[in-house]
Amino acid sequence: MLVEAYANYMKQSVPRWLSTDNAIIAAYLEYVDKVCPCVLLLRSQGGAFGFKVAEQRPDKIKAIVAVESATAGIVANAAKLKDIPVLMLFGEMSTSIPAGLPSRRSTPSMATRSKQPAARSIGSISQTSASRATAT
Amino acid sequence: MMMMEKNSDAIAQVIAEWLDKAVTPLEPKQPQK
Repeated sequence: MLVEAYANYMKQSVPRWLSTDNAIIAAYLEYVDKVCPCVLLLRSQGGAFGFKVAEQRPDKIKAIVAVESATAGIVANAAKLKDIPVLMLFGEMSTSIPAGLPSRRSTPSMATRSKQPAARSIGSISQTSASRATAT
Repeated sequence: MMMMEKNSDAIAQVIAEWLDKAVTPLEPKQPQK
């Protein structure tokens, strides 16, 4: 029973190996073509795929929300996203994991800004491709 | 060990407020019942 449930659960997952990125992007584009216009909500490694997809379908993406995104897309393609509002958020879980990446190290933790409302202490950068490039 | 998020409500609040300003809904907002 447990094994069967695990197998069904894993059918929903998308493996990532060195050879699977193109297949993931192809499937992602097919999905965007089917369901969008829409807002992309990206997190961590998902940011790398989401920004690549947005670069190829800028007319279908109304906005991008990227939480702790691994990347902000390819700088050479930034102009393709110039009309898409982008919100990049950093600070998620910053109090609970070791600082290992430059973005985390440079992001003040929620705990160290205890005088401010939580929502304000989350860094946010939005709107332009120029600011996206600055954020990475 | 699963990493449990500490501030998901705060993050969701920021996202919701930003989307309200940045994105125009395709359909007009329905009046709340």
